[in-house]
Amino acid sequence: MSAVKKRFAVGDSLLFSRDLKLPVWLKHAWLFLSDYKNGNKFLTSLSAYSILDFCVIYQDILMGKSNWGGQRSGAGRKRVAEPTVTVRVPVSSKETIMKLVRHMKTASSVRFPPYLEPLLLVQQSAPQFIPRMSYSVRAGFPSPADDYVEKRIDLNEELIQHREATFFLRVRGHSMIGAGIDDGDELIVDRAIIPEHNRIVVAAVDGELTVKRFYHRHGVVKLLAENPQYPDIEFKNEQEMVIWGVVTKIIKSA
Amino acid sequence: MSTFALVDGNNFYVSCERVFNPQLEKRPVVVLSNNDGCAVARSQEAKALGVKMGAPWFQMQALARKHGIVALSSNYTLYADMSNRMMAVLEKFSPSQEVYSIDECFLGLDGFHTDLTAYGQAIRQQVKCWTGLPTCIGIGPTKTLAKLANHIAKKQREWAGVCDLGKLSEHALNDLLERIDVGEVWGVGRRIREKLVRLGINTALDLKRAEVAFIGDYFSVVTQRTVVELQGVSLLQLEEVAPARQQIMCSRSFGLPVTQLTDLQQAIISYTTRAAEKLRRQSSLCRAVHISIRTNPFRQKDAQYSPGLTVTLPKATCDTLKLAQAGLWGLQRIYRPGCRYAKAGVILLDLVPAEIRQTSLFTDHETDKKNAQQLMQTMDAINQRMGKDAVFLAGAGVEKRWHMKQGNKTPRYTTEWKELVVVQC
Ligand SMILES: [Mg+2]
Repeated sequence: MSAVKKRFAVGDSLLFSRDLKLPVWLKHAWLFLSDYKNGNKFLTSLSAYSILDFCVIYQDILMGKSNWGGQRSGAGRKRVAEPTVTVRVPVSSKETIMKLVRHMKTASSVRFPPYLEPLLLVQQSAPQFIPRMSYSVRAGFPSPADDYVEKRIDLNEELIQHREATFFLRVRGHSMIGAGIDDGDELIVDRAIIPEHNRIVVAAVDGELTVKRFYHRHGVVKLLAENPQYPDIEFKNEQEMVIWGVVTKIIKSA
Repeated sequence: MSTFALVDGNNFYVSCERVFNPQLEKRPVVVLSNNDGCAVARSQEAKALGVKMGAPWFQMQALARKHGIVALSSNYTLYADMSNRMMAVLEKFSPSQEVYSIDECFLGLDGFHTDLTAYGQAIRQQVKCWTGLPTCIGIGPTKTLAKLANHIAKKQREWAGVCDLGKLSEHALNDLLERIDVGEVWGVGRRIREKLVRLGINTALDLKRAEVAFIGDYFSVVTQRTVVELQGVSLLQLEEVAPARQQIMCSRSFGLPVTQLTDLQQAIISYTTRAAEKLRRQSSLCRAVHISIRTNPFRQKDAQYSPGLTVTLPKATCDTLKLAQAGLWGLQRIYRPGCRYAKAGVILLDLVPAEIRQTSLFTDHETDKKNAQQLMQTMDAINQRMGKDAVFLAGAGVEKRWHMKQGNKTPRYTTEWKELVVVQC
């Protein structure tokens, strides 16, 4: 999420300067579109086009059309020496970007109801968990599946037992590859589960959080690595170890 | 008879930080206010070193270096999430809960026929286990006594974190109250305390024994109520539904002194946006916008100027655009060039509940209004999904030169996928 947000913030500078040099503007648009194409799913119901429009409209409203407070001193920002860059874009995206640019150049008047229509999809596509009532009433045809409509699977419900006590952590290192935990994986950690012998746990050892298999037998406590190249952690007197939580799931990229 | 518990997080902000960074354990840690100006939370170790609440940080540099005090910028995103987790755990322990502040809540314990001290320990233990946050619990027959019990549980180690005043004999209770300064009583602020002391009321016990009518001669009914509550008669009930706020404020200090009107305009738009979001979240409209700016009173060499102005709106609204326009109109009137401004603020006043009609989409025939509504709903929806400020008014500025300094802010471990805690493996 934050990537898009950040990219978008870069692109935002176009809000200020409609006289921005074209290629810089193109670069922003391209950054934004590439994020969009990289499958940020929450954007799928929006077009990049409408988001950018949205901002243009705002600028029109705030800076131009509604003339509050009279002329604003210093409102014209100094962008005289704006540097330019050349940007390579895939042929397939060229048309979209050009469309955006053309639109930018002509968008001077406020026409916001039609512009906003695509954006309304964002609201409509909010998750629907309540099974809908039979649509046979509306359509006139009874659907054989009507009695079988159920709530879609929600991973929060399936993977998380105690919401308040569950945290996500990201793994760095290779000491647990034998347990299927690789560098870069995310872990779901539940602090409400009692750590028992042989469970994979997150523990605080010497001020650092680490993932290991918890050994607790006959009064002996150890943290076992699952990679022969890494030592197990055994505890001397006075060394402190606190179990932070129990790992319940491992999230990997396919 | 009623029974209340007050659960309060210990050094809450510091504790939140420690959950994700065990290295901070046992070290002196302070959390600084917006702008890294002064200490707003201190670990026990920092308190022991003499760091005072609200102490300006620049005055503490030498002490910090000497003792290795860790100073963190405030990470309110993290604290808010941890607070929600804590409150959700606590909710399970009582049929009634009043969330009183970010780290405090009252629980109703009427008709619990168990050992309440043991119950309190069970609550503490579960909060600590599930969220990692340490708490103290005060229990008493009134909210005021529960609050005082919490103070005792915090200050006196022998209670082991849970103090139940309801269990004590009258005599033992009075003994305890006699040793507590009257200023520690809930509702007794600095000025009331000074006045009480002048009247010879120095301790919590003195206040408990004061004549209600006598107190009424000098103070408001609020202080009278405090006396009655100290006597064990419950007058204040749990407020389970937070009352809609009567005004919404957003004000902040700038990272650098600001002189330009444009920078102030950006700040006003930005704060109005934030305040208007809150306004819409509680389904209210507002009829007046108060804006204020001020120079830094601590820089005595600078010309001092701290004006404010209330702009009344023709019609109640929750439209960020209209509110921002009003704020900017006001700013134009109070802005004086040549001053070095240190802070700006926006307060939305005169709030009224939004009619239901106005929150539904297609029933309003005034296109203008409908559009504004859709715009705001869309803006809120996008910002909710894509993160704060994904879409904002262009006037709020991109560079935000005036934006607050936050030099040492920890990641938003629990609300940003990119900022998760890293665990060594
Ligand atoms: Mg506290």
